[in-house]
Amino acid sequence: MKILLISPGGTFFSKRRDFGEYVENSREMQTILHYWSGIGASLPTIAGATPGDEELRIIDENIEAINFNESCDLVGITAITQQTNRAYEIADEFRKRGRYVVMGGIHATVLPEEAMEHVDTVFVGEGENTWPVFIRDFKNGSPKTIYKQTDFAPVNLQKSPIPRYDLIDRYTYPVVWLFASRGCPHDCEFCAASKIYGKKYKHKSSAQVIREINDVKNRWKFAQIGFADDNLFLNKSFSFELIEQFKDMNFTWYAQSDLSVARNVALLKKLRAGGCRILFIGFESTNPENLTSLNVNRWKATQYHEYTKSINRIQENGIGIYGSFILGLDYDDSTVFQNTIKFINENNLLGAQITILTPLPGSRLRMRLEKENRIISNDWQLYTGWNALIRHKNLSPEALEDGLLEIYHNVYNRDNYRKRAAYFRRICQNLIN
Amino acid sequence: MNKDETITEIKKIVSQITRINISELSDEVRVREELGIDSLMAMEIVASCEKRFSIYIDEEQVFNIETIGDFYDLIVKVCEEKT
Repeated sequence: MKILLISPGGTFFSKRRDFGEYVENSREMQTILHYWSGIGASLPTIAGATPGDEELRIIDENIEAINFNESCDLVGITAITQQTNRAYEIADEFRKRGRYVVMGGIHATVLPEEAMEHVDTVFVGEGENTWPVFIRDFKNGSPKTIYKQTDFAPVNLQKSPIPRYDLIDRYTYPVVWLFASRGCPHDCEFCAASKIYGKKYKHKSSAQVIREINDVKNRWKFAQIGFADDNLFLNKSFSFELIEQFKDMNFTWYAQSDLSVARNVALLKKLRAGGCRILFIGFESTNPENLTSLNVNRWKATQYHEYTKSINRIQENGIGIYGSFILGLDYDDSTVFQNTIKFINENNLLGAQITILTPLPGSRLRMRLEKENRIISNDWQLYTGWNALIRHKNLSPEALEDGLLEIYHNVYNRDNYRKRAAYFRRICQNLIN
Repeated sequence: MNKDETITEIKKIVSQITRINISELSDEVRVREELGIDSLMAMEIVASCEKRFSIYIDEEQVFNIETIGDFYDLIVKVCEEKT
């Protein structure tokens, strides 16, 4: 049996012409694209979970065109929301040719009925348990229309299959993504990840992670490792154990974290020695009023007064921070753009990723904004984070989009590059002396 | 130190910081798109070269670099100007 596993092409940025021109001509935006290119670990993991010796092929449509006439018995598609329109087009094309098509991933998990209009079988939640059962049912001629992880025992990541990176090593990714853990307890209002992974934290063994890193290093000579975990450092003892082993492995890597790593200087020094070069950290807003309602436990709000101190401590240890910020939170007004610029520049963040509040399906935010009749569009291809999709009491959609571009233009202009470079030069001089 | 020796030393520094095998650091390799060198890593390389060769490198010159060969040329030129 031959199975095609497909990651549909996606729109990373807004299709507005001035945005497109900016992204194309901005070296810094190309760097951001560099970090976020490459498919996630989900399809290699599903391939690894496939029982038997089926013929498997993974296609990343952002790099390789799909041949809809390619012979196969089964097509599996995964998609986040902004890829979904294209995922449905792909599914429709294959089904026209009589192929059996299945879909998983976060969008199908939160809107399975919608996905079912385009595919034969939908997977809800993590796929490690459901996929092998589906394959058995499919081969027996009795596949179900839906497989829910909640009908199975919890996924045990310590028994997670080795991702099949051999199926994507023909692509020259600059960053290869893998994950060591799943689950995040912060439950931010705008995030839908807990719908698929849950709030309970779980992790692979350090031996599994090391084996995967070595596999990636052997397959890509330049690629850096990106940890896709929502937060790699939730379990500090596991993080310590894992990173301790990185120091002799000679590779550089990025991860997502929260600011709590700044409290532990020993951990920061281990991170640096272990090859960590960038942490992606969600600051979300420079307005503390916005932060109070983001998490049920008000966690982000409690960190606000330590933002600057924490940033300094992390970056002074030779780890750059890419901060993420959201425009259009409830307490924002026209000052949000200048305040965000000021915060990023004054704190010398290595980089920043700014998005407009997006009501992702499955998030608590979407449920609230639906009740408040504030969602402008359900066209999933616009769910990039660069399109204004909400009605805001103080800011028009145009103001939000124009402000987003204004921030990028300012933060990444040549003067601010020089200022940041001088700041990091001083840090590096201190570190090597 | 002649040009070849200087380039060998630069390669050692770049390899140590990027953690990429020295044999892969050929002239045509693109520093951002392939090596993934961001401004922090670039400044770490700059600071290390400045210390190793007792030179000063302007950040602006680093901004314009596209390939690792461009970087070798820049450092060699700055070293030559010093002498």
